[in-house]
Formats: sequence, structure tokens, C-alpha cells
Amino acid sequence: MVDTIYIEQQVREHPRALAVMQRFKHARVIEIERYSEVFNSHGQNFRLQKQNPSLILAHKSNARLHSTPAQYETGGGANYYFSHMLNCLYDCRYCFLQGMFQSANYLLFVNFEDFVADIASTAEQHGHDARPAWFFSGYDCDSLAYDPVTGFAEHFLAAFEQLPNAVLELRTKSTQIRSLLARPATPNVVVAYSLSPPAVASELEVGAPGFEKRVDAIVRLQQHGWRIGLRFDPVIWHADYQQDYAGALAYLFERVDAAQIDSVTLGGFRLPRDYYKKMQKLYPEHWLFAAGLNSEASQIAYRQTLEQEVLGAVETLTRQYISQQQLYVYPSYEAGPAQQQGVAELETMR
Amino acid sequence: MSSMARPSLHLVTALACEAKPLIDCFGLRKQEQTDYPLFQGQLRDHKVSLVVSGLGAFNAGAASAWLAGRESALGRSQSAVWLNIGVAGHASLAPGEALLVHACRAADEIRSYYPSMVAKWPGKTAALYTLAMPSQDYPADAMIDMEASGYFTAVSRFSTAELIQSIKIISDNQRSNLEKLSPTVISDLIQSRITELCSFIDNLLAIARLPQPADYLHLISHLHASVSHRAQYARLIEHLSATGGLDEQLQQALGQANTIAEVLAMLRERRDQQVPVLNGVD
Repeated sequence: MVDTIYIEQQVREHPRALAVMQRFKHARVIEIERYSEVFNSHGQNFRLQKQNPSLILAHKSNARLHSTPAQYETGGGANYYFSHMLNCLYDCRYCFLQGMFQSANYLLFVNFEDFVADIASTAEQHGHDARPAWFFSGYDCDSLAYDPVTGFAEHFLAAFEQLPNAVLELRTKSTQIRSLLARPATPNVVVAYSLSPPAVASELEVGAPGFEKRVDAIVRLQQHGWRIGLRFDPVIWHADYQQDYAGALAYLFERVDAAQIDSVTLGGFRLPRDYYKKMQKLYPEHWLFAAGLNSEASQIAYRQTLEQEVLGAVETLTRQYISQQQLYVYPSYEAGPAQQQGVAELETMR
Repeated sequence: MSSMARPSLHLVTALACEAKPLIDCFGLRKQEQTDYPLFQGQLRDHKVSLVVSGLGAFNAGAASAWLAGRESALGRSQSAVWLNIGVAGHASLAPGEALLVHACRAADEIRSYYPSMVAKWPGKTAALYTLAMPSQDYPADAMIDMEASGYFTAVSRFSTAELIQSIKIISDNQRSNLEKLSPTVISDLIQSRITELCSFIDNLLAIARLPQPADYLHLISHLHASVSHRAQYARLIEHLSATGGLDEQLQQALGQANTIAEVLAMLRERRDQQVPVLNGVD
């Protein structure tokens, strides 16, 4: 429960801001001029703040849409990502947000209409492309975890129904799918679930729904007609990883229709060096930031031979259920340095 | 292994009469021959220091920085909790009300400081303007004092925003007379809120525990090691400490090594052998 809301003066009367504040009637409300005064100020400790994050309501005035790195090819056409929110309800130990942001407070941009306008005009620019333009949500937050508060899905799904040459991918670990089940499936929307075997999820994905609950949500969404993506990214190396991933995949594909899965991606645990250093400083006692890593490189990842072994093993396991055309593997060592950096920013993590 | 630090508690007041109820509450003892009046003691496992800065933002900042430097030199500065406690004016709130400061700005500055609101405080919060002179020209929705902006500016160099807080007890408003504000009255106002203050201090101390890096430098104290060697050693020890690979056998072997190169090779070999085991290592 949020007990402090910071609100920019300029969104004080925005209907979405008012609706959010109505939901947290007992929260103290602190007016600010710009969100950066609170969110970007120095001397904050992400780990301490994560114990009781505040909510910041703000206006995103520019740079609402970003191109994805070239290597990120799941969509097949032009690829963009956007973030209506920064930071996440969950506290996944491997998540790059801990290294990227000063603050663990939730920053919600309430001007959804401007995001949608940018998406619509960008989709129009790609109107003659052979493949639709893809728009990814959920890299700087979980797309659905805060949906009951933000109404994000309802707003953006309605918008994408009017954009036939655009695809929306919602990256999530959340089981907050009521808004998706309350409407017919939208053919140009993919719900992409981040998954880890139960043992990994319970140890590293603090606060997120358990593996089985996520699979239940996937099954319900698939039965409702929604396109589903599966993301094992990062794949976490540990003593029983082959057994754990084999068990998770078996459980998953006993329940979901593999042929109807849009795509499956696998990625190694990898981080830009600066993010890694911050995260390791926050959790010096955690094995995740020590075990198997090549900490001398500019990008922190598992040692190359180890990553090849781990991704290779999980790829082999996944291929028992999924065709080659459905599977995308993102190793840390094949791409050039610039691509590695970009992919790490996008892909390591949830 | 990494350990969780017991954070120190640093209290800052402007006046001796503001400090008195806190000194009594924590059983603090005056330290001799210090640049600022300094009182110290223990609250359970936590070292407590209280400095009396004198009036004004400059004094509050200087005294806080002095305390931070002093504690740093003694190796006690990491993850310290800082709390400024004092009286403030407000247009309408009744004397005796306690408010946590959620924004602070010096009267001649544009930018505000926003303390991070992580520790639980069940009472009211308010913005605070720090003025250069006493005033009864109260703003509509904020408190006024003469110290907090200097305190926040100085202390934010030494600790993390979540652990730097200020609580003000209302001492005067538009209907009261500043001249009646005697030291005894001020002490009584602080004393009347001592339970809430102690409860908030407990909450701050509870969130403040941060892990400290593993320290095994004594194992190589007999070896010649450059700064670079020590940095590599510390990094490897940290890794092995996190993955559970720093067992007694390895520690004994390290203690018997003849060169730092031998030590680093042993540590690297062990690091590369370590496989993380879920449910038990963390």
C-alpha cells in the first residue's frame, strides 16, 4: 500500500491522477514541480527505498518512444519500446532497474494519451512496411502488475484495436489479467510472460506471483484467445538448473498449447558494468552477483563457456516443445559491444 | 561473511533545551573538550550521538558535518541514521503538534530537498521553510524554522536520503507570543512528543541495516600486497563469501600462503569451482 504520493503540479487535475489519488485516499500527498526533484536526486538507496516505495505521478513531456536495439528481433519489423511507468512492484534480484535508477519509488506518467498519439503517428510512418511495427511495454516496469491502479491495459488495448499495422507486446509476471479477460482478445497484442523455474522464482523474484500462478494466468489468457509469448530471460545458472528448467518446461507445456505460442526467448544473465557495480554494492552478500560471472568484461555476464553450456542446455530442453521458428536465443557474446549493451538494457531481467 | 551493520544514530538540535529531553531519554553523557556540545550513549546496539549546533542554518550544517567527520574518523559513519529535532512555527497548527518534514527549502533558494519517506511515521507531515531570522510571518501551508535546510544540505553528503529526517514540534503560531517561548517551555514541548520520537527512531533504525562487505584482510597481513592486489583480493573474498565458498580449510590455506599471487590463485580456483545452490546460500 502506498502511503506517500508525490504529484507534479501540472498533473494535479489530470483525470488519471485524480483517479489514482482516489484509490489511495489515506496517502499523504506532496506537491512537487518536477518528478526529477524526487526521482533523480542523488544519495538515494534503492534497497532501503524498496522497503516502502512512494508513488510519483508525473507528466512525460518528451522521449516517450524509443527504438529497440537492432539485435532485438522478436517482432520481426520495426521495434520500439515505451514506459508509462518506471520501477516495478516486484523486487527481482537480477532486475537491471536496481542498477539503472537512483530511486525505487514508482514513477507513473499519467498522460497515456500522449503515449498513444506518439505510437499512432509512428505506426503510421511504418504503414507500408511488410511487417507491422512492434511496440514493447514492460521493460522499465511490469506492464500489468499495477494495472488495477493505472488502467493501463484498458487504455492501450483500446488504442491498439485502432492500429492494425502495429503490435503491442506486454511484458509481465503479473496475474492481474482481469482487464484482459473482460474483453475479446486483440489479435495485434501479445502478452509475454517472464518465467523462471519455481525454485529460481521463489528465491530471486521477490514479491512476484509464483511460477504455477503465472502458468495458470497464461492458460486462462490463451483459452481466451490472447497471443502468448514466453520469456526465460535471464536463464539462471545454479546447481540443479537443468533439472529445474526441465521440470518447469514440462509443467508449462502440459498446460499451454505450444503450437499457439507466439515466441519463446532465452537469454543469459547479463548487465552493463555500471549497473552491475551498483547492484553488487546493494547486495554484496548475494550469490547472484558472484557466481559464474566474468566480472572483468565491459558487460557483466556468465563466463562465455558457462553461458554457452547453460543456454545450450535450456535451448535443447525447450526445443522438445517448441519449433525453431518460435525460439529466439540471446547470448551475451555473439553480438558486437554496442548491441550487447542495448540488449542487456532491454533483455536482462524480468 | 558479510555482516549487517548496526547503524549509529545521530541527533541534531539547535538548542540545549531541545536536546535535554533526548539526553534524558537516551541517558547520554556529555563529552569533554569538543568543538560543539556533544552527548553520547547507547540505544541497545546502536551508538547514539547528539550535537547541539546553535541557531541558524549555517551552524546546523557545520555541526552536522563536524559530527559526521568525527564519526567517520572513528569508522562509525556507514549507514548512520540522522534526525534533526527542534521547534518550528506554523500559521495555524497548535503548539505541541509533531510533524515530519516532507520537503525543506531555504527561503533564498529555489530547489527543495525531499527527504525519502521510507520509515513509518503515523503522524502528519509538512513542508518547511528555513529562514535566516525569527519571524511571525507564517506561510499558509508550511512550517518555518531556522536550521533544517543547513542540516539537510550538509548531512546529505554523508548518509543516504532515506535515513536523513527532521521532525519539528510546533512552538508558535499566529495567535501565540514568541516572547513567552522560554527554554523550559521548549523542553516541555519536545518532552511531550518523546514517545512518538522514539518510535520513529526505532523505525528508522529498523530500515537502516545494510550489509557490510566481508573483511578478511587479516588473512594476508603477513604478505606484501599492492593496492591493486588488495582490491583483487577483496573482490574475490566478496564473491566467495557470497557463494559460501570461504570455508575454514580455505582460510587456513590462505593464512599459510607465501605470496599474494599464491593467495589470489587459490581464490580464483575456488571461485571457478563454486556452483550456486538455491534455497540455502542466500
